[in-house]
Amino acid sequence: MSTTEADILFKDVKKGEIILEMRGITKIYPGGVVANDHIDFDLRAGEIHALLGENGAGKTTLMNILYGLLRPDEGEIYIRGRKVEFKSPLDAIRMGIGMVHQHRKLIPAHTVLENIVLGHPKVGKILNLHEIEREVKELCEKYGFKLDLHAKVWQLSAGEKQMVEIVKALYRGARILILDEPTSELTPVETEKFLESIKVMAEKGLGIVPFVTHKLPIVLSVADRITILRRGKVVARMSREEATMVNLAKRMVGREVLFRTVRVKTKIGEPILEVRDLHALNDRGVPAVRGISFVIREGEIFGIAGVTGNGQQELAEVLIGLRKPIKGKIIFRGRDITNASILERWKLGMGYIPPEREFGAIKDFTLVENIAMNYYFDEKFVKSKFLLDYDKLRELAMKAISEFNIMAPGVDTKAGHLSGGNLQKLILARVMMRRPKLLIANLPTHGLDVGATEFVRNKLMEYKKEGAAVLLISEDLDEVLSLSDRVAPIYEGRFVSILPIEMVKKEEIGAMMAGAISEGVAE
Amino acid sequence: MIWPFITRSLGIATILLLAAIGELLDERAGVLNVGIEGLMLFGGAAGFLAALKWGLLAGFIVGTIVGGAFGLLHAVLSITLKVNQVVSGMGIWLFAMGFVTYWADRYSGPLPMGMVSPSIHGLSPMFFIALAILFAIWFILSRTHLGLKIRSVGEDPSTAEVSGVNVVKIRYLCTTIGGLLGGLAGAFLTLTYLACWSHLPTMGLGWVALALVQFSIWRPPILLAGALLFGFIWQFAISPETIYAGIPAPLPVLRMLPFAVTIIFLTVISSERFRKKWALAKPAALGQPYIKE
Repeated sequence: MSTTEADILFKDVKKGEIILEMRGITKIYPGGVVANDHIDFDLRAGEIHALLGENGAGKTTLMNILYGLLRPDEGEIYIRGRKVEFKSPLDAIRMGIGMVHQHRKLIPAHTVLENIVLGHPKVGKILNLHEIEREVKELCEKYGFKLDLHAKVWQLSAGEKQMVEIVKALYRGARILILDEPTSELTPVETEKFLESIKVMAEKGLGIVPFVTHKLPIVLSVADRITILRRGKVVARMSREEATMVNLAKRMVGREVLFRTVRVKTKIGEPILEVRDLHALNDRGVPAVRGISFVIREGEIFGIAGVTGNGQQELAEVLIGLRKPIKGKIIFRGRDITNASILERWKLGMGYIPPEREFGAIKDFTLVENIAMNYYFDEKFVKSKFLLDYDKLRELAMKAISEFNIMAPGVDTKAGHLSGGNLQKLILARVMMRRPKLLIANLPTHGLDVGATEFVRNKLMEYKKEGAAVLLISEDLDEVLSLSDRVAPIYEGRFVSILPIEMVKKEEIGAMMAGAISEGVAE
Repeated sequence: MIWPFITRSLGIATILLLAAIGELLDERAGVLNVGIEGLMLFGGAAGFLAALKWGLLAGFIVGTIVGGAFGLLHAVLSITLKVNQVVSGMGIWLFAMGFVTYWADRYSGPLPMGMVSPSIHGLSPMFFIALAILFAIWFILSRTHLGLKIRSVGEDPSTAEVSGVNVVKIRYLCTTIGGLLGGLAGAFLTLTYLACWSHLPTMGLGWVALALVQFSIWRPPILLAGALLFGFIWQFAISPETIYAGIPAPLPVLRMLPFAVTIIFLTVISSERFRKKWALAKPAALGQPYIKE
C-alpha cells in the first residue's frame, strides 16, 4: 500500500500511547440546546474506550465532530499531539479516522468488494480489482475476518454487513474506529463474534471507540475504559475494574435503575384472544406463519421470543389486520375477526404498538395530530357530527405528556422534534389511553435507552395489573423473561413450545429460538 | 431490395441507440429524463438550421451542443432545484414541441442538393460511432472507478457521499452527457436519416428510446439488442413487402406496430414474473432528488 497522511501521522505508534485527544469540545445547536459542554476525551492505541450515555446525552454529536460531520463551537482535537481541524469526513478519513454507522452505509446492489473500494483515493481510473482483492484479503486475514468479497451486499446478514463496513474503514487506513451502536442489529451469536474481532483489532494497535446506550453487559465485557455522558457533560470516567452494571446505569440515568421489573401476580380472567391454526405468507410470498395456535387471557402478558425473521412480525400484522391470513381463525372477545378491518379491530378494543417508531408517528404532524390518529373514529372526539373536536384532543395530548413523562415543549410541537424515547412514549400513551382489552406490543423497547426502556416495561406491567391482556413480541430474551407470564419461543413460523414462566430455563428457551430443540406445540 | 431495408433499419437503430444509451447513463446516476423526445427535437431542429447555414458538420456539432444544453437545463432543474424529474422532463418535451414548430417549420423541406451525409454503401458511419459510444459507456460503468461512482450515486446517494463521492457533480455530468447524445440522435435523424425537416419529425422515437432503457433493465448489451430489434420492426412497418410480399394488414395497423410492441414489452416486463428481477436491477434512487439531511 502506498503511504498516506495517516501512515506518516501514525508512524511507530506504541501500544498504550495516547493517539487522540479531544479537549473542551462544546457544541450548541441553534435553539440553544447544549449538546456538548466542554467534553474532554482521549484514546490510547490498542484500547477500547466506550462512550456511554442515554439517547440525547451528546454521544452522537461528539462522534460526529470527531468524524468531521459537525464542527465544534469550541474546543480542539489533537491526533498524536498534532492539532487537527476537520471540515468534512474526508479530512477525518485522511487523518486515520473511520466510522461505522448504526444505519448501514452500504449499497445493497453492489458486491462487497465494490462497496469497499467505492471512493477510495488510491483506486485509479480503471478498477484493477485483482490487486485490490489481494490487499483486502490480506487485511481480512490479519484481523481474522471471513468475507465473500464477490457476494452482493443484499445477500449478507447484519453481522456480515457490519464487517464489510469495518473492512472498508480499515482499507481506507483507519487507525481510530468509531462504532455507532455496533450491536443493535446483531443476533447473540453475531454479537459474540463481533466482540471477538474488535478485541483482535485492539490487540493489533487500533484505537476503538464503540458507543453503546442500552446493552451494558457488552460494554462491561470488552471495554478497557468507559466514559459516561449525561446531558452533554462527562459525568464519570472509569476503568472496567471499577464498573458494575448498577453503577454504570445509575451514572447514565442519574438515578437508581432497577434491572428487574417486578412481575406482579394478577388474577387470570376470561380468554381475550384465541388464535387457531393460523397461516400467513410474508411479502415475498413464502409461508412465514405456519400453524400457530394460542390463547391470551385477561391479566396476563404473553411473550413471544424469537430471532428476527421467524414470522413474529407477520403474526403481529395478521392479528392487527395489516396482513391477510391464508388459513386459520382469530377470535377476539368471542367474535370471529379473521376478516375484520383494522378499524373494526381498534373499535373492538385492540391496540397496537408498531415495531418501528417511523410507522407509529408522522413526523411532520404535531403531537395533537399524532394522538388524533387513534381517536378520530371515536364519537367522543367528534362534534357537530363530522368535525374533529380539537379542544378535547389537545386536552388528551396534555394528559399524555404529563402521565407518560414526555419531554416536549408543548402539544403543538412536531413529532419529529422528539427524541426516540419520547416518541415511543407518545405512541405508548396514545394506545394505552384508549384502554384496549388487548395490547399488541411489537418490539416496544427496540432502540430505547436504559431509562426509557424501564419506563415502558413498567407501564406494560401496570397495564396488566389493570386486567388487560398484553401480547409482547421482543428480540430481547431478558425482556420477555422478565415481563411475561407465559413464553412462546418462535422458530420458522411455529411456536416451539408454550411455557409458563415458572417452568422456563433461559438456556432452553435460547436453544429453542435457535431451532436446536423442537418440541410438540403445547396447548 | 434487402440491403436498403437493412441500412434503413440500422438507421433507426442508430437513432435509438444514441438517445437510449444517453438516457441509460442518466438513469444509472439516478436521474430520470423523460424529455428525450424534446432533446431530439431541439437537437434535430438546431442541427438542421445550422446545416442550412454552415454545412453538415456544423449541423451535427450544433445539434449535439443544443441537446447538451437542454440536458444541463434538466440537471439544474432536477438536481439543484430538486424539481420533480418527470415534471421537468415533460416540461422540456412540451417546450420543444411548441418552440421547434415555431422556429423550424418555416424551413420545412429537404436539405439542399449535394449536402449528403457520408455513407458506406448506404450505411451511415454514425452507426459505428453509436456502437463505439455504447461500448465505451458499458466499459465505464462496469470496469472503471467513475462507473462505480455513477452506479453508487444511482443506488444510494447518501452512502456514496459518505464514501467521498461528489453526488452533484456526477449527476450533472451524466445528465449533460445524456443531453448531448439526445441532441446528436436528433441531428442524425434530420441530417442523415430523413435529410429534411418536416413538422415534428421525431415521431415518438424518443419515447421508444425511453421504453428501451426500461426494457434493457439498464444493461447496455440488452439495450443494443433492443435497439436492433426495434429498428427492424420500425422498418418492417414502413416496407413490409421486402420481407413478406403478401402481408394482409392495412398500412395504418402496420405503422402502429413499433408502438404496439413497446406497450406489449412494457406490459410483459411489468408482470409478476419479471417485476422482481426488474425491481432488483432498477437503480434504487432513480427519480429521487438527493436532499442532504
